Amino acid sequence: MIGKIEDIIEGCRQNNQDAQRLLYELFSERMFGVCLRYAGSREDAQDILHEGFIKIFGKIGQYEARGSFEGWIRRIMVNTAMEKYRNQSKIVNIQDDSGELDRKFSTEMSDLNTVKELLSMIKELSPQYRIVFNLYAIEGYSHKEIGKMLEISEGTSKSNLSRARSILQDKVKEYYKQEARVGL
Amino acid sequence: MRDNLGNIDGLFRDNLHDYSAPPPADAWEKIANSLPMAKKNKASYAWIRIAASIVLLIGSGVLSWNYFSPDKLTPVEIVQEQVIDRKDLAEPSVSNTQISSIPENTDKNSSTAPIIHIPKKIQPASIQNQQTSIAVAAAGPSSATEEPIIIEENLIITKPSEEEINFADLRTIQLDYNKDPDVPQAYIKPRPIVTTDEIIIQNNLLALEVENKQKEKTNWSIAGQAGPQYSYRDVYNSSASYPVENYDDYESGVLAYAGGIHVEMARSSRFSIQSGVYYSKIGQTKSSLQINNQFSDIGDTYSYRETNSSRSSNAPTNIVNSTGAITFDDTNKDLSVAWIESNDIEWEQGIVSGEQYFEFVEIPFIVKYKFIDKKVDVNVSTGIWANIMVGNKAIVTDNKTFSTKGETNNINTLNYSGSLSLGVGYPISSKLSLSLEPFFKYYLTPINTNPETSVYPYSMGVLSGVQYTF
Repeated sequence: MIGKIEDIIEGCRQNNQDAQRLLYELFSERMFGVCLRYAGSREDAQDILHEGFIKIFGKIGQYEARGSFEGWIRRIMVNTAMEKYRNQSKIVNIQDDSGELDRKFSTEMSDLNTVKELLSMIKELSPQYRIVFNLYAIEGYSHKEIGKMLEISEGTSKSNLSRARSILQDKVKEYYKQEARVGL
Repeated sequence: MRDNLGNIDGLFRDNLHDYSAPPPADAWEKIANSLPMAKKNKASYAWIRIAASIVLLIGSGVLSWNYFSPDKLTPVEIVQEQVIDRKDLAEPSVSNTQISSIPENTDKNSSTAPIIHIPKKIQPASIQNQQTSIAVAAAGPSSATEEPIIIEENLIITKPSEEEINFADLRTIQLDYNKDPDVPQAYIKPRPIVTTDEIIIQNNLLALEVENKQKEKTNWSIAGQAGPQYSYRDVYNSSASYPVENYDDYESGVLAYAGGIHVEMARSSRFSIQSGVYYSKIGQTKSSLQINNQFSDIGDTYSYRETNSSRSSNAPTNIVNSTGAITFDDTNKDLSVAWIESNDIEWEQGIVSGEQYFEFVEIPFIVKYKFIDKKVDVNVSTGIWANIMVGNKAIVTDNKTFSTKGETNNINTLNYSGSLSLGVGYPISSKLSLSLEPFFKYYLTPINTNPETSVYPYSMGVLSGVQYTF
């Protein structure tokens, strides 16, 4: 019963529940993963997922077949996540003077424990650091773009990122120490 | 300019960029309910269950009403036989014989009761045509009830003697002309004493005797029936995310037929059991199918899809409906379709219809109760059927030249259904009778094997037939 993605999109445009359900089933797990990264709690992640998909189905008429459809969905989901925290973010305008840290960390061990551990580290960040780190480091937005999206200055975005990195480095160090991995 | 350090970035990005996690199970339902045009999974098929319940209620009500109400044997009308002396039959009759009262006579053994002949004036021939009724006031001692006893003079027995004739099991009425020759007085001679109750009892005993004789005999009969039936189905879906209404929007019932032969065994006058062999054709249609003719480099390819749905499939065609997947194995078909106007420039569309049929050989076990047992019988039957699938066909056609055949997958070969029917039988000879039987049949087991979506076909129709009783 799975059709081509174009058919599914077409069906969603016509508000066909069958197609909508298929779309959800195709993307919900990946999108929930995105939500979990941005949210401070699982409940918040569920809310973001819910609102995100409603937006997706509402805006699907505007999707033009350019670029990746998954990228388009992802952007909507990220936007939804940001909206939730835009007002909550206490953006602290810190002068960006903390030096760039130059540690190399092993990225070879990508097992599930690592993934979950990293996810929980991100969750422990306060919202403004978490969002900026997600947008810059994981989604790949520029500080300029982040500034526009969060309605903050580029400088604030940079300092938030820097702070987030620093915290995360400490956490990762701690984690690897505990794991007593060879090579560090 | 992007930082080149970003190794912490890289660590997180590599591990989390594609991170997936299953959302809560009810998440879709909440989303679906918030979307426009979201429909709740109502039981839109509830109406058929309500109708079935009403039919069963009425049926059981009728059955129990007839079962529990006692057979009332009508109290016998006392037919009085008047005695006529042969030698009195000479002259034309008296037309009116009015009796005004009955004198009391409590003495059972009284021999002083006058015995009256029917007046000489009455002739037998004319008496037979006469309808003289004597209304007796309910004052007689032997009328155990308050009801007046109606007496009809329509039997004439001639006896040589002038004496009254006692009938052992009937009362005799005597006319007393002594007081007034013109107005004879009638009274019930008490001897032999047969009260109204006793007469009723004897009548009942006779009736029971007859009935017992009937009971001892087992009636066998054989009957053939055939008729049209409308068939459709109920769909039950265990997956909450796909409402049943989505199937109901595109599917509808078909008119087909059924017929068979059964043997009936009656141990009593009212109850009988039946079994036999029947044939039944059921199915459903799927409307709003479109054929899309896509022109590609390798030639024409055809695909089917539903109106307003993005789900499509290519030839060999594969249509999905409530019963599951229907596959077609005709791959090379000339397509001649009535093309319709389409806003979609890419695809030309034609409207076709799809039908699926299932044919069954059915073996019933039926219990029948005859609740009106007169010249025209009316009965109610209920039974269980074992249905063996012998035919499985699916057709997609544009009603012109295009048609492709296939079959539905994953259908059970053996199914069970229950039936309820009302029958009317009209005898046309001592052994033959015609019957008309509207019925309702509902599957007790799903026809398809899909654990998520269960389809229960039902059918209703009228069978007409002939029954021969041995």
